[in-house]
Amino acid sequence: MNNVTTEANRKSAKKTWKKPTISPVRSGIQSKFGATTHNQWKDNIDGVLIKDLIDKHGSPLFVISEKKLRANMRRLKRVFMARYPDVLFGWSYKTNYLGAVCNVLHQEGSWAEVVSNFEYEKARSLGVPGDKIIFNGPYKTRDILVTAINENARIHIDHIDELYLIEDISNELNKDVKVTLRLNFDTGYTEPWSRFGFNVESGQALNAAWRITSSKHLKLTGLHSHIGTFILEPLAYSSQVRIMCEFMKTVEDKTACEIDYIDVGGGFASLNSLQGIYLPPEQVVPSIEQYADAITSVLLEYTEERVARGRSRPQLVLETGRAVVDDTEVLISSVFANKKLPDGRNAIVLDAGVNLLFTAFWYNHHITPTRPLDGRAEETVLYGPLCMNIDVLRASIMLPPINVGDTLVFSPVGAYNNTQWLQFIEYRPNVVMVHEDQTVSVIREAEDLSVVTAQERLPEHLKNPFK
Amino acid sequence: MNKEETNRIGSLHNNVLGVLRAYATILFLDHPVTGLIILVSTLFFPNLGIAGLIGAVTGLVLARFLNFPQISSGMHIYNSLLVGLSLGAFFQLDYYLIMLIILGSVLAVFLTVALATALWRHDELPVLSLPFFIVAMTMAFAARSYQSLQYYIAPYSAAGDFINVCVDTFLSSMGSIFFMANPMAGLVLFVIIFIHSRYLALLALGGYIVGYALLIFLTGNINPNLAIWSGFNFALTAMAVGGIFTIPGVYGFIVAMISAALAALVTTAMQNLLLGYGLPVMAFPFLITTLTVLAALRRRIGLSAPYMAPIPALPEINFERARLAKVRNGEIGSIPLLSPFYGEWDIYQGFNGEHTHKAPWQHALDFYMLEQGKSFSGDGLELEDFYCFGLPVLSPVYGVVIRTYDRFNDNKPGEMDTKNNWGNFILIRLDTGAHVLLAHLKKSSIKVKEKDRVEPGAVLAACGNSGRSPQPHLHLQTQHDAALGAPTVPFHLASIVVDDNKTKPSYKVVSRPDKGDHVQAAENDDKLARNLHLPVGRSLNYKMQCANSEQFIERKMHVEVTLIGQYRFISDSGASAAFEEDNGVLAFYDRTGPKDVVLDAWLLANGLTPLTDKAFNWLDSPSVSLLPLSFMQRLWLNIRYPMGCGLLSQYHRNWNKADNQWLQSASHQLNKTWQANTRSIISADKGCVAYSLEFNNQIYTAELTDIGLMSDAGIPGWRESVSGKTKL
Repeated sequence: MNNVTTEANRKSAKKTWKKPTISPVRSGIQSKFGATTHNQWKDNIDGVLIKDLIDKHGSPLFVISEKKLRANMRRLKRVFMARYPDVLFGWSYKTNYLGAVCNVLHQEGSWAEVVSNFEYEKARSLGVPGDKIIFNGPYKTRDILVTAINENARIHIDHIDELYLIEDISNELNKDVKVTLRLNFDTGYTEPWSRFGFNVESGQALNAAWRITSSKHLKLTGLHSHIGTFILEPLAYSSQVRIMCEFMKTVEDKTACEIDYIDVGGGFASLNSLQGIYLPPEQVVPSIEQYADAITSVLLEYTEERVARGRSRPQLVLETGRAVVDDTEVLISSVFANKKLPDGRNAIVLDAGVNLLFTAFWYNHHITPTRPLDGRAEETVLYGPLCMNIDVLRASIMLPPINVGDTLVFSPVGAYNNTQWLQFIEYRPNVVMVHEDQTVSVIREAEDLSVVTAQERLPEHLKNPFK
Repeated sequence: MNKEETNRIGSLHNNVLGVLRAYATILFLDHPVTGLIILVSTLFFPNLGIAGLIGAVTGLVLARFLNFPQISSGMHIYNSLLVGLSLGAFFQLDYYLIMLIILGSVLAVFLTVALATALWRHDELPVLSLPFFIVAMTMAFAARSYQSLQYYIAPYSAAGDFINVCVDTFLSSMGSIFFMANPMAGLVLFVIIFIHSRYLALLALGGYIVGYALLIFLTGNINPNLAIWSGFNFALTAMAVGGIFTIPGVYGFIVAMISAALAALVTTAMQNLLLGYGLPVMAFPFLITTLTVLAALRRRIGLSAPYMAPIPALPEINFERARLAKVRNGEIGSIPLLSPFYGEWDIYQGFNGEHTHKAPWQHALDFYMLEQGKSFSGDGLELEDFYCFGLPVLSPVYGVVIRTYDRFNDNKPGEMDTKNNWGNFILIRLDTGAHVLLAHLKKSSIKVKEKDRVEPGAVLAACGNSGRSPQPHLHLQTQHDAALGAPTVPFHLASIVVDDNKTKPSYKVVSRPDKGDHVQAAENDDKLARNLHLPVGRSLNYKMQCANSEQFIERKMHVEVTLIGQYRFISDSGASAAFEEDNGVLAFYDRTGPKDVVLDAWLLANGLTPLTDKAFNWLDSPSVSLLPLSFMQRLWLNIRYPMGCGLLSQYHRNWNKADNQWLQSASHQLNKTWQANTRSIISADKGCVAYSLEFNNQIYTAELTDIGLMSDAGIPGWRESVSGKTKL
């Protein structure tokens, strides 16, 4: 870690208070937690001191690195584009739809992949043209579909009733609509997500394709499937692409459509440790190259014949979310209080809880102090500020004693936290972005009373109850 | 007569044209009218003219009768013609001589067939009039025993009667190409050459003067008869070496003059040798000098001036072809290759690189992949850490795989296998004859077999680290021979985006990137490639209006493929241009035929159209003669640029989303004095639907009216009219 605080000026400062520790003597048993990580510390984000960030923007604080975000996207593009001639990335809005994040990725060439009315409108408001939006999801209402069709968005059909609805709209508008079928099938590796799309094995998907041929305005040009999330086995994607390519061949042969693109969704794992997996993520999580090899090798093999017959290969669409954004964002939280639990474990109350870090329910985040902590590491529980029993950020971590006011860095937190966070009891804090030139912008301001109550309407007779 | 026999003999019309062409071919020209003029001039000397005609007809009949290949090239006929002429020049025409002419012509045909292929296989040498020379020698020796023959003294005008001694000698010498040692006949021939090609006339004159001057210098006093009967050898040698078989240029001219001097040397030697037997030198010095010089020039491995013409042609045509090829390919004869990879790569070592790209393997590129200046992630101790390791390697060409090997292990980073220099490799023979080698491939990654046919974009193998390779990279080179380790020949990458770290990354029709450059493959865009595709039989009808008049010109264009596999875009006016779609661009060249503003404006607007959507700006240099020039402009052009010249054309294209079409505009300039502008609308479903040309204050606009496919045996044609006005 490139820390800014040096050993020398740390020692010259006033000596930090070090809490005494008592630990039981255990013999014969090895710690199943492996090595402790308390000797690692991190005092800056891209060269900007964490202390300065907290002083200026308050605690807790979400910090996003623009440099890392661009680097991740470029790397992903480079890896896939070196393996396949036509690759398109759709930025999965639900992973993180903060405007600044979306627009960094749009600048890097990603389209918008949206799954709801709100996300569609947000993408449009951020300046994404309709024909650079991939519109997914099981719930697209008539109004937004009319807009999307008028604006030439790529619409992925989820169910037969939606197909009827789109057909109805296209007839009404007298407009040709290119559509994509979302498929579900069993790859043999992951639990099939059969609630989305049309089933391949039962013939439902082929029937839907047949149904499209009988429509005056609809034209089937794409296939989409999404096999799951945080998938640790790249071969699952090989299997997915193989099934999709076989279906593509069948559907082209039988319904004379021409498939222009294959959307394999996302689901690549990030370097985060899922609870219940003992090995560290560095060992479990495949590299982007491994995912890319698994997908493109099969796709190249299955489309070789197309090329020989003079057609170009179908576009490969990826809706990678977590692998792009997760490790670009951290949450900085301050220690509010220390506690000793009756069973002897240490506990810490932090100013950020599961209201901000929703993913703490399934991840064990990396937790890094912002100064070197001296002393013995002890088993510690990290609690959030909520007045709720479930507000636990980490049930167990080996940490040396830590003082009130010290800060901890939670990472990676870029995926799903800024979209799934709760406004429960607390205001949501500032989100800042550190730019490539080390300047810092607030990209989402901390909430206050007026924000939280802005939508409330108080009937006249309920005002001033104590008067 | 059954159908097959009719085909074999051919129509009278074609046969007559064939004979006439043969007369012109002797002067390296090709036009029946030219041939007719020469034929008529030979008939002024009836003994000679008729003898020649008998020879030509005999040659034609025999070649047709025995169905020899390449009848259309006319080389059988002109050798027989020369045999006839030579006999007619020395002997009185009677039944005995006719017999001898027929026999000689037959021998000439057989010799032509036998020699032509053998010489062509040996360094692509032309047979020229070598068969004639052999037959003529045979006849001359044989004739001594044939007492039946009577010698004939050709009417001979003494030098100086016509203009003056020097000029008359030159003209008579030109005339004696057809055995007419007469200044008047020579003048006719020289004027014909001048009309067809000023440069060829210059070479003839220059070659003659050099040869003649050399003889004067060495012998002091030249025998006028020698100059008259043999002087044409200097002129013909210079014409062949400097104009027909090489591309005109300073070096070509110098080599042509040196060849003429050599021809003079050979002439003297042959004169002394043959005079003892009372035999004429005839075209022997020309033949031996030209063939020797051409064979020697073809032996060069690298490319340097004088460049060999890919197809023998008139110097002006050679010059224009070479000019356009040089503008588009950067170097004459350099082989175009498409990117052998997907995505963005960096150049590890360029041509004449510092590590291993040394002569005779100096023409090679090494590719690898960098990220922030590093080729690997992590600590770089494993091959998998290297960004390019295992990436797909694609075929850069149309061709056939002739050799592969992929059993060598990949070296650990930093280690090399110098015993097996190339490591795992694929060798492909291009359809155009050269070979391309892709080396240092990953073990067991080759997906193709020997004899497999491959096309650009086919995945062949994976990038590896086998052979003499300290870190994973892809080695690409081209070579003439199929042997591993054969000397390399130059090539360039076609349709590629290059970032040379100096200017903004930009699309290049062709480029030879150098070390440190960052390159990105510009794959064809399906919409562009599909809609601009011109398959055989495609027909496009355009209707053109000139802004200042109410008159419309309608032209039907269609696509044909020639016997040698060249695609041509042909207008119903008879004008046409060849085109290729292979290297990521639709490129037109080799415009022939009459003036046709509808075709020419099309060629200016779309002459070089990249098929990738990554191209926004590019340059080309189409011939100035495509512009609808006025008579005065054409005259000025012929004087100022006798060899022709190109425009500076800057193309720009952008995508108009609202109308679902590309707008391709270009400005064409000549020395900033002439300026023309073109615009072309390429729709996403019909190709070029409209185009316009602005020049000389005139605006020509053309619209596509009909698109179709011409019918073929068993294939019904179709045609649909294109509705809807397209605004330019």
